[in-house]
Amino acid sequence: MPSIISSTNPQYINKCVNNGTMASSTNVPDRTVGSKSFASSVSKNDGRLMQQMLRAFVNKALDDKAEGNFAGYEDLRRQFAAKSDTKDAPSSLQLQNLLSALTCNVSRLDSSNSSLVMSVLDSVWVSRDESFVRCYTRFLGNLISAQSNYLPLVMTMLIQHMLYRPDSLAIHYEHAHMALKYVLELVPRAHSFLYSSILEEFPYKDESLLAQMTYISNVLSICEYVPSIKGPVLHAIIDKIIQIDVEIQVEVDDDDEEEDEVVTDDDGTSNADSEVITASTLYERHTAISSEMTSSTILTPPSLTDTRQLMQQLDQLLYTLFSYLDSNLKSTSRDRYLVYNSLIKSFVNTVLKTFRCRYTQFLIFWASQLDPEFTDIFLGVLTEVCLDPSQPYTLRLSGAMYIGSYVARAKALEKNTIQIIVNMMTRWVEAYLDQCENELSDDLLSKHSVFYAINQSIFYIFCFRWRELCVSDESESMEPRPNEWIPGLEILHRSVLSRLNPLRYCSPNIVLQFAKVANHLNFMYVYSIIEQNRKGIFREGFDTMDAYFPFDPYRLTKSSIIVQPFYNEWQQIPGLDDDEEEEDTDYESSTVMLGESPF
Amino acid sequence: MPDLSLYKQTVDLYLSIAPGHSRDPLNAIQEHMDSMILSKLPRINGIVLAYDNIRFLEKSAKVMYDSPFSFIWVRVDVLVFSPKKGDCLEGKINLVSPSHIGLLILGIFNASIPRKSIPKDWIFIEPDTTEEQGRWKTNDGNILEPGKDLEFVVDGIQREAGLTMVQGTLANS
Repeated sequence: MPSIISSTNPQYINKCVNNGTMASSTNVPDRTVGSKSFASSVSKNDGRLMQQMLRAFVNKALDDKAEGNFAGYEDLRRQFAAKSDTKDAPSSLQLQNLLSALTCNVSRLDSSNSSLVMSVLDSVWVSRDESFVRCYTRFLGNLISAQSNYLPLVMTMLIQHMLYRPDSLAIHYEHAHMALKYVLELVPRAHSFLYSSILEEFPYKDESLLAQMTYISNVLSICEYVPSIKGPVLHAIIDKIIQIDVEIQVEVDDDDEEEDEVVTDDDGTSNADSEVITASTLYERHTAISSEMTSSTILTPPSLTDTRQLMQQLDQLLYTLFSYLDSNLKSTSRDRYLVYNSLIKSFVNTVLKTFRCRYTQFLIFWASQLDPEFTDIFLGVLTEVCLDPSQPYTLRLSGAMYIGSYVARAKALEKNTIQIIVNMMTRWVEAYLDQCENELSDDLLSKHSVFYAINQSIFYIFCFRWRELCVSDESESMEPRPNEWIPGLEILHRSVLSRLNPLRYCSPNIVLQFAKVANHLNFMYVYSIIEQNRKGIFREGFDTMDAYFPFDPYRLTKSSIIVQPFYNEWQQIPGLDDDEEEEDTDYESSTVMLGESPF
Repeated sequence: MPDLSLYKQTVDLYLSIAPGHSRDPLNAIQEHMDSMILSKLPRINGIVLAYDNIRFLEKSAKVMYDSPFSFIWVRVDVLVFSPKKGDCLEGKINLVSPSHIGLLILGIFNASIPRKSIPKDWIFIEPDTTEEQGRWKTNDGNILEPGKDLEFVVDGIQREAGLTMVQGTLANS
C-alpha cells in the first residue's frame, strides 16, 4: 500500500478520509469543519484540510494495526526512520505535518506502538528549521504528558543532544535546550531523571577538549534554568576535572621538564564579568580553541603531545568553571551561597581526599577570597577537619597542609584573620604538648603525625607571613627595636625543644628555610637543634613529613589570569640576602637561588 | 468536593546506620527519610510527601556479622499521595490537545485524560495557528485551557520508570 504522502491518486485520498470517518464516528476534525468553514480563509482551509487528512491517516494506521494490519503503521514509522541524507527521505515539511498529526494522537501511542515512538525519538531534528523544531518540541511535551513511560527515553535523547558532534552548530544546542525546558515545565517529576541522565552522558576524560567543553558548557546552561541541580552538577564537573588533574601529575612526575614548556595561549581573554555565559558563547570559544589545538598538535613532538594536551585541556576546563563561578558568586547573584556551599562540599568530599591533585583546589582558593564571609567559611571547614580528633588521620594531615598553604598564599587574608588562625593552631600545639609530651614512644612520626603537620604549617606560614605576625604598628619592618610577635608564637619555643622534636621530623626544606628566616628576624635560634638532629638522622634513619603544599605556584596560563590577582607570591626578606654568603660560610646551610621561591 | 488522596500512615522500617553516623543516629535516619521524599516506600502504596515523629523501637542497634553498619527498627509517620480508582481529584490544566487533557495535581504529579475518557458531547476548538494549543468546550459551555482547574475521576495509575502518573476520566460528569 503506497504512502498517502507520496500518492497522487485522488481516489485513494478520498477513500482514506471516508474510512477514517466510518471507523470513528466521533472524529473531531469533521465537526470542527462544520462549525468553522465560513470563517476560514482559503489558505487556512488548505492547511487545515491537510491536517485533517493526515490525522485521519494516522488514526487509520493505528486502527489497522490494532486489527493486525501493520502496513499503514510501518509506512508511517519508516517516514521517521529514513536517513535524512538519502534520496527518498521525506522533506522536513512532510515530517512536520506528520508530527502535528501524531501530536493529536499521543494518547494512543502506548507501549504497543513504541516502535513508532522510538523512530521519532531517533530521527534528526535539532538541525532542522525553527518551525520544525517547535513542532517536534510540542510532540515531545504532548507525548510525555500522556505517556509517562517514555520519559526516561526522552530525557536521555535530549541530554545526548548536548554532546559534541562534528557537524553541530550553536543553534542545534539551543534547540535541544528549548525542548528540554518545555518538557521539564510540563512534567515536573522529570527532574528526577535529569541529573542521572547528565551523569550518564558525561564524556570520558580521554575524549577531546572540544567534546569536554561542549558538554560541560551545555550542562552549565541547563543549570541556569534548573537551579536545583547546580550543586550536584558542580560536584560532577569537579570530579571529572580532578581526574584529569591527577593524571597530569602522574605524567609530570615522570618528566619534570614538561611543566616548564607549557605553551602560552594567545587567545584574547575578555573580562568574564562582561559576558553572560551561554552555550553559544562558549561554543564559539571552543571552535577557536579547536583550531589552535590543531596547529599546536602539528608543531609538537609526539612524545610531549599527550601531557601538553592534558594540560591545555585542564586549563580550559578550569577557566570555564572559573568563569561560570564568577558569574554565580557575584554579590548580586541570588544563588551565590548555594553555589559556594556546593563548592565547599565538593572540596571536602573530593579535593581534600585526593592525594596530590595540583590545580583543582584553586577553584576554592579563588572563590573563598571573593568575600570575607566565604573566607571565614572555608577556614572554619579546614580548621574543623584538621583539629577534630574524630576525623581520620589522613584527612587531618591534608587539612593541616591546606591551612598552611592557604594562610601563606591567600592574598586577600587580613592580618587579623592570619593572627587568629595561627593563634588557634599554636593553642592546639600547646594543648597537645601538655597531653602527650611525656609519653614514651619509639615511632614518633606515625603516632604524632598531625602534630608534626600542624607545626610544619606554622613554620611555613611564618616564612610567608611574618610581617602580619608582628605586633608592631610601625610600617618600617626593620626598626632598631626588636620585633614583637603575637603571643601564640611563643609556644614554638617550647615545641622545638620538646621531646617530640618537630625540627627532626618536619620536611627538611621547610625546617631550613624556617631556621634561616627565624634567625634573621631574631625570632629564635634553632641551628643547634638542627645540627643535633642531623647527627640523629645518621643513627635512626631518614623519615620525615611530606612537604605537600596544595597552593604552590599556579602554572596553567589561561586560567592563571583569574587566580593570579589573589595569589601571594614569595617576597624577599629585607636584609636576608645580604647575609646569605656569611651564613653559608658559618653553617653550611643550603643555598637558595636569588629571586626564586625557596619552596 | 474533590479528594486529596493524601493519607497519613505509620510504618515500621528496618534501617541501617553508617559507622560515621553512630554518634547521631537520628540524623542518619533523617537523611535516609529525606532521600525517600517523592519516592515509593516498600509496603506503602503511594508516594511519600513528608514524614514526622521518628522513634526508635529498640534501645540499641545491632552490629551483625562482618558488616560495619548498625541495624535498627524505626517507626515513622508518613504522609503519602495515594490516588485510587474512583477518587475525585482536582488538577490544574497545563496542556490541551485533541488527544488528551494534561493536568498537574498538587503542582507536581501529572494526570492525563485521554480522548476516549472525555465526554462525546464536548467539542475541541481547533487553534487558529499551529503555534497554539486549542481548547476544549464542555457541554455546559465552559472553556478548558491551560491554567484552569478541572475536577476528574481517577481511572487508573500508571507507575513506570519510578514515575507515577494518574489516568483520569470525565465520562460521568
